Amino acid sequence: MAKLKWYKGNIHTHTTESDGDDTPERVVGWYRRHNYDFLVLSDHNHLTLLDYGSGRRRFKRPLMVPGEEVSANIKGGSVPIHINGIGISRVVEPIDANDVVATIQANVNAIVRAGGIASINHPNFRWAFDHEALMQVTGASLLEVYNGHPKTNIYGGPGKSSNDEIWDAVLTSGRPIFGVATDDSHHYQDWSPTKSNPGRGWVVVKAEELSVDAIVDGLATGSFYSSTGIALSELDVTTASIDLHIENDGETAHWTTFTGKGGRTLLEVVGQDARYIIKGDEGYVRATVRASTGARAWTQPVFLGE
Amino acid sequence: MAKTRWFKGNIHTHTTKSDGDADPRTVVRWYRQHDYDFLILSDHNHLTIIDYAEGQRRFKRPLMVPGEELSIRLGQGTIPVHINGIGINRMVEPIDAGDVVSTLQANIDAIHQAGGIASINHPNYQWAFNHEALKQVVGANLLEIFNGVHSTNVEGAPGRPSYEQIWDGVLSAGRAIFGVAADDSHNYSDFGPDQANPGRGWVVVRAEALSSEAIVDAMAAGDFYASTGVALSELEMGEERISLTIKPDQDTEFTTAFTGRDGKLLHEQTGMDAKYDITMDEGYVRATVRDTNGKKAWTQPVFTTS
Repeated sequence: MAKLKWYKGNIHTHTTESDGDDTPERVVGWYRRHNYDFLVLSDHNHLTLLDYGSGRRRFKRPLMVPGEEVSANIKGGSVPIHINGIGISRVVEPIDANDVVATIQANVNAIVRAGGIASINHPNFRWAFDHEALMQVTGASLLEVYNGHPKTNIYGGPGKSSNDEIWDAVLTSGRPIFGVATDDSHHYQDWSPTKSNPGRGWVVVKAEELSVDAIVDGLATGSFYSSTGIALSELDVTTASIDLHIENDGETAHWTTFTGKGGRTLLEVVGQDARYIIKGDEGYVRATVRASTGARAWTQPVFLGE
Repeated sequence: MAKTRWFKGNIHTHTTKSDGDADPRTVVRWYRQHDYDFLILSDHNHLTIIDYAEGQRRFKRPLMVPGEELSIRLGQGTIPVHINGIGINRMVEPIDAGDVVSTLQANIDAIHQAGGIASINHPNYQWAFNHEALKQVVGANLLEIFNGVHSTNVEGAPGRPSYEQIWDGVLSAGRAIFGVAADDSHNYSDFGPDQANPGRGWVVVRAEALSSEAIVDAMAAGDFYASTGVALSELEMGEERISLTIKPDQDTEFTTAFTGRDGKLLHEQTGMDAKYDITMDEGYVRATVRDTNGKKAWTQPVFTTS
């Protein structure tokens, strides 16, 4: 078996080809300078691709993975159903199927027919939908557990589920879906917490090589973790145990929570190493790492038969 | 009584006069462009002041309030004790008094002697000290309950108190100290979560005029709130009641928690208005507003006298 390596990428990115405020070339320049290995430009209803061969210089990174944010704003525009198609072979026209569940399903299917995988974006943006809708949808590969846009309500509140809670509820209903952290970057001119700036959330994919097929396959199979600032140097997930080791600067304090069916906390471990031995009746097990800096990382769930 | 108004400012800011990466004029321009009413440049052991009359243009805002970050490292450099002097009338030489408590006290006293008020910075930076030390100190006016630099460990960790827990620890010991949110900005060239960028935490001060004296007096009296993104349109702090109204922000939802001695939750309320009737046995009462995008505002405590 070929040796696996880790590749960092952002899978939700806007440019002037939709409502971003900088050109694709300059957006890619930001991610290149910040050491991203791959990037998905995901303009609204537009397939933006950058061909390095056409520019003055050829770059190897970031690898450009084709993408589009298939965006249907239903019910008179008030309910945004935005789904990223990743690795698609052609532009996908958004479908308005009137109600939330039917629209999510129709666009997921259209993305899959175009050869891509579907990532459900920012469910709480304008409080569009939550796990009650997602539990009725099949074939979605990914769900945003973190989105860097400042108005996507990812933390929820009383009576409103957070993105983490939505993810656990979908997993608990028996739907395997993997959690991604993304920038949803729009703004590259003014830098402030009120802007949608790049660099806030990313995925780190374990793959045999840096190719579109290998990255999309790694995302589709859950061979990755998501992060807002924590790096894992080891991650070993099997149906017997989850082991991870957190990279550290010597001062940041870290702790890891293992979560099962119903969002139940199974174990909390303080320190750089965390291990959970799977009993078999947890339904699923996933790990969330937190840091004293406020950063987080999420591993993907391992699913257990009843 | 003269009419009061609200003024937004950042009280912890670095420039090339210490370890910031932009010169004072460039730094001030960032804050001007982002509508700050006042600004404190707080370089390490250096009094940096901008006199607008020296420049080509006269600017009215931000008002420059004199400041300095008195910076000492104890324990062979492993324990940083950093205290902002705000409204000082001269540069204050930092004092190394051997141990943490004595050093905190000596520098607070030196700031007062220079006509300023003392703000205790980032207690968890390199895990330097916490409420156990601060309880033994008198005369400190302000304490950072949010610092925008990720390595200052604002969130704490299991077994290590967060800034809010440190604040409640000091208040519960009977020491009146007011909570501030501050940028501690150093980096104005590259922007990202691992950079110390401006715009993350600030104070909103109620004063009769935008003058150094009025701003410093209001902060010393606790007539302000701290914020990382939540804005208040009304705030009434009386001995019998705290009431507040939150400014709407698109579809963001808000929850207000009123806490008392030892951080005890007294009352929690969702919506744009919140109030709490003080029963007099709480020790103190303060309000924290959280929103669905992870932003917060903190009011200052009202101390009960039973």
